[in-house]
Amino acid sequence: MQLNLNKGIRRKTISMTPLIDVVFILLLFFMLTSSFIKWQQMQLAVSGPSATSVATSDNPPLIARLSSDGQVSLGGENFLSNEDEALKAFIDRHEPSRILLTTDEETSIQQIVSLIDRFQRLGATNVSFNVD
Amino acid sequence: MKLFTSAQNRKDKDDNLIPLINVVFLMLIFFMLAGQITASDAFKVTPPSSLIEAPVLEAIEFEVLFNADGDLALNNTLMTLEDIKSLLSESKQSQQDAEINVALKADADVSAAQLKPLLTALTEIQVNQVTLYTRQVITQQ
Repeated sequence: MQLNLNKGIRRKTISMTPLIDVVFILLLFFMLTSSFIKWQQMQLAVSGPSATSVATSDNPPLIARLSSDGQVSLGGENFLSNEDEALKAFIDRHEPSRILLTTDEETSIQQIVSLIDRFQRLGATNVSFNVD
Repeated sequence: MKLFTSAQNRKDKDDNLIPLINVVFLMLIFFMLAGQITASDAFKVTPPSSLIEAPVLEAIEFEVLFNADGDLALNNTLMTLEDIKSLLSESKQSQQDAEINVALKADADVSAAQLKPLLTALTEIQVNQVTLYTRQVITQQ
C-alpha cells in the first residue's frame, strides 16, 4: 500500500526545452530592440543671411573661428584646448551679446558641439552657428 | 538496468540546464528593465557626444536624419533636401505660419560644409528652432 502511495506522488517532470525556447526568443527580442543611448537636446542657433540680428546689448558679438584641426580663435585671439581660464577671462572681459561661430568646411559636427559645450561651460550661452 | 540509467541521464541533463536558464532569465530581466524599445532609424547615425546635461523633454514633430554620406531623411523617410524644404514650408503654410521646430539627428562625422546647405534651407523657410540631438557621455572629473 505504501509503495502505491509513493507511486501516486511521483510526478512527470516538465520538459524544460519549450520554456527555454520562448525565453531565448524573448531575450533576443529585447536585446535587438533595446537602445541604451541617452539622448540629449542642444538648441542650435543659426545665423544666416536672412536672419535678422537684434541688438540686445551694447556689446558687439564676438567672432569665433574653429578650424578643422581643432584650433579655436575668439575675437582674433588663439586659444589652445587647455587654456580654459584665459578663454573665460576673455569672455568675461568682453561680455559679448553673442558669439558668432564660423568654421572651416571640413570641421565635423562633433568639433562644433564640443566647442559650443566649452563656451557654455565658460559662461557664454548665446552661441550661434554662422552659415554664411 | 538499462532503462534506469537512461532515466538517470536525462535527469542529470535537465539539472545541468538550470544554471543556464537562470542566467538567461537574468539577462532577459536586465534588457527588459534597462533598455528602451525604440523605432529604428532609416539609416544608422552616431550622434555627437556632449557634456552639457539637457535631457530630451518633448518630442519634436519634424526630425531630420543626416549621415556623413549625405543621406537625408525627414521623419524616417529618405528624401532630398529640396523635398524636405518643400514639405516643411507646405506644413508651415498649412498651419497658418505656426512656429515649427525641427530636430536634427546628424552623424558626428558630418562636416560643416555638408551641414550648411541644410541649415541655410531651414533658415530660409524660417524654422523657429533647430534642435540638435546629442549623446550623453560620462564626465570624467
